Amino acid sequence: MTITLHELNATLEQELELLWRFALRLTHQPERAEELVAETCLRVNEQRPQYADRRSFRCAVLGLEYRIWCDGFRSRLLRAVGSDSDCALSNSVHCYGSRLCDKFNRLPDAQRLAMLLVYVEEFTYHEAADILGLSINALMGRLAGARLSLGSQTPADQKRVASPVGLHAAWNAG
Amino acid sequence: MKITDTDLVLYADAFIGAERKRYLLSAAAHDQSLADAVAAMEASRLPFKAVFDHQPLPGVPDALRAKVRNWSTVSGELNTPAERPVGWFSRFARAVWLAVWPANRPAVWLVVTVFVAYWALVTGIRTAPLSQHTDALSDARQRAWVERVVNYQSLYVEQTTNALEVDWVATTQLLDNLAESTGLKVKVPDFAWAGYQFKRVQELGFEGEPLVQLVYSKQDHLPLSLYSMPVTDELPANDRASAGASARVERHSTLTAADWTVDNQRFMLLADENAELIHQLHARAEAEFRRP
Repeated sequence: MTITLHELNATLEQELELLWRFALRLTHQPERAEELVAETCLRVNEQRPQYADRRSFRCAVLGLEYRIWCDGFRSRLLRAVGSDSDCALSNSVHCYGSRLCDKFNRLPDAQRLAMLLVYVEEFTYHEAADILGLSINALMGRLAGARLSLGSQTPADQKRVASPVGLHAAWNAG
Repeated sequence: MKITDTDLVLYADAFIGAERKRYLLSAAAHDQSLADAVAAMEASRLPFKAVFDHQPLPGVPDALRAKVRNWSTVSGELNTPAERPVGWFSRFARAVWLAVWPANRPAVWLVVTVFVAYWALVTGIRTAPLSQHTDALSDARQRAWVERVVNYQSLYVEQTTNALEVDWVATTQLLDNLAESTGLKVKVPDFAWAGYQFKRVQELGFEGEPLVQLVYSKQDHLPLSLYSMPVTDELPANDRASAGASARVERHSTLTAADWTVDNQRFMLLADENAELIHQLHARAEAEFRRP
């Protein structure tokens, strides 16, 4: 499908929230996230990715954002903030279900991002693998690793809670 | 059969087929480590989305939203030479020509001649007001050009250009093609003395006209860009006075811009530098463009 630049830009504006959310979760810093989103928008325009529908466009732009992050932003951020600096995002917001958030955020980046895409942003396994530039098996490996960590860290008594909602409440109460 | 990570994830997400699930649970009954993994999968059925949906993330900054919107209006003008739209006047003239051509009658040409003579008489009488009107329009267009280019350039950060590899063959080819198809003469000035390394040339567009961007990078600095486009309208009075002379230098947020006009080409240099260095860069660029 050939798209015009007008359509491309209109779609990009619609996906700004998603790009921003993902950038925040990659960088943990609003200032860096802003740079990352701006850079992504610029590259989208220059590369003018073709897409079949809105969903595949979302995958394409998130994949681009992730590659930009991997290619340079991550190392620059690490240099800039140092290893002992906690993320500004975590400090600035109070996360509902903060214990789960904490556990989740302590996962290695590779696992955390796979989990975010599949379980928070609700991309399919294949879409998440595309965004992260992984094979489907590699993605499954990351998801399994993350879930093993999260599941193993869950207190034994919480395993008896039947419903996810009840489990969630128990998790926070604990 | 071997139990894989995929099996465990599909089990955790309740997507596993019935047969495969029976096999997994049966294997877990005889393997403690697998049983622990299955238990961890069950325990990890947590409401991730619900939790993260309640995370009060900061909203998209207005500045970013505005930047992307402004940038869209610039990039929306992006046209390759093949896609460059034909102006309404060209389309109209072409339509008139096609209508008149088959007739090819002297009467038609007589009507056209009378109309042109009348138009010249009227515009001749009203020369002064029209000239002022043209100046106002040109001024507005000039301001719009500066504003859009500055907005576009403000999206560039160091990382935008760091990974770029200079492709001199493609650069030369693009500049030659532009010179041939549009008459736009652009060279690549050497700004290495100021620490800026040339990275890339690209053709953008502004209101249907080609707009060329040369990008340079410098360590720990925002990229520098030199833009050029043809002058198609009459220059505003203040620009006519300074055409070919010194540049107008202005500060726009984090960037300093120098814009000038030479031989029916507009130029704009943008960098995060002080006015003095911008003047020096402008002088170097102009010298390069004047070199035969």
